[in-house]
Amino acid sequence: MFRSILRQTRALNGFTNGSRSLATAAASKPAPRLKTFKIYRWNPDTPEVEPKMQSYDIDLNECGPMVLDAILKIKNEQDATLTFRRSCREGICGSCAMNIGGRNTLACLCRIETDTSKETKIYPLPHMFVVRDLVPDLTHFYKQYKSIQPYLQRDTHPADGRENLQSIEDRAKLDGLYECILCACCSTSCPSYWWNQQEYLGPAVLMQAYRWLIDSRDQASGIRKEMLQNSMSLYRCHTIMNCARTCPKGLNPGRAIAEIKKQLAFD
Amino acid sequence: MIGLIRTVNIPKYTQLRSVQLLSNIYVSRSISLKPDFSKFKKIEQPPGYIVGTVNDAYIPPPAKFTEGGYHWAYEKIVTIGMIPTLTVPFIFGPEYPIIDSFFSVLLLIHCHFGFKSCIIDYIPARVYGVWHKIATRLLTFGSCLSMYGIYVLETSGNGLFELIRTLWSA
Repeated sequence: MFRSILRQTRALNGFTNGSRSLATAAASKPAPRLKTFKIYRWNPDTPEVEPKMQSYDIDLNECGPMVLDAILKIKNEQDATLTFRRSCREGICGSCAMNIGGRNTLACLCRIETDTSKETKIYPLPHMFVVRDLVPDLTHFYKQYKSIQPYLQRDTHPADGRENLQSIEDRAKLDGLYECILCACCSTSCPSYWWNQQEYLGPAVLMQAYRWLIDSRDQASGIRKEMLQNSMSLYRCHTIMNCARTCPKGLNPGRAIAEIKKQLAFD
Repeated sequence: MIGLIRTVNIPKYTQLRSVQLLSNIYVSRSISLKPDFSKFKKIEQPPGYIVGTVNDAYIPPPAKFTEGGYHWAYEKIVTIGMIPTLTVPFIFGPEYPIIDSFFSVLLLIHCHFGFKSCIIDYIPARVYGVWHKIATRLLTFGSCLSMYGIYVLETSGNGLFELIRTLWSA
């Protein structure tokens, strides 16, 4: 907004007084809007040093709108040791999941709050082991995902020998489930997952379990349901719904878990 | 106490010697009078919560329907059953002991399931070992005591609804 007004005033000056237009063009660079970012730092090479928050100032006029732009700028210009995961910069890979301003979200999709009087705090995903700075250890998360057998299982070959056919209505059932990018934002926002990470599968994995349960092409629903028939894997969910609140893709894992519970109850 | 038992093809005449070797392995016996508190300590968890290698899938426990789907169904049936039963004393008065005892039992089961869920959440067996069992048994004891309390309340007293009514109006 300010840039367009400045452009108009510069144009007017150019028409009236040619010599003065150069001076105003040079002085019209806007004042820097400095935003403070406080970022969680911990180095495994010096594990005895306690983790701490480090402050960085970024001129928002020289930076892209998303938090990922800001931390990349910090890494490029100020502190090259800042470590974080990132890949696609468009919210589809799920690498840059972190806790920004108290919310688990993707850094590449989270706009920087332009209020320069407030500082933005960036933490790694909560209640996860930290590999370094903002990088969490997601090994157990992937092990849990592998355990639900996220692949099509059939006893019979398809009828025409080529494709497993599926009606449009059955395909519509998968909408809202297949878009999950496994960023782990939802699972790490769930208090039940914090307290019982080893045994409770978490909303991300459970939503994918539901995605395979209701896939009409899949014939292994029996064993999929049996895997969840214990007190911990599914039933630590108490409909806290932090997962649906924090999903950066706008999905609803809580609803998927409720649907699984309904299916398991009438087994 | 015998330590390791190795199955080796020992010819008969050397068997005596193998027994002597085994008795050498079992060396000292602790005769300290300090009681063994190790089972009351928190159980050490594997690093990173990884059991096995990083490429193995997580193995869920074997299916137990009484702790899974059926338990959830009973929980919800009890909760839903409480709602109409609770409206009865407000409409028809608190003088019906069958409705009263039915509601008291439902309330007790509801609370039992609720506390059991809290115990599973916050005192899990994999971390707290024996304390989980202690907490569960304490809860069962409390529930049985409350069941007896309901019996006393219904027979000697005037029932739960009447009790709440007197407490409210006092």
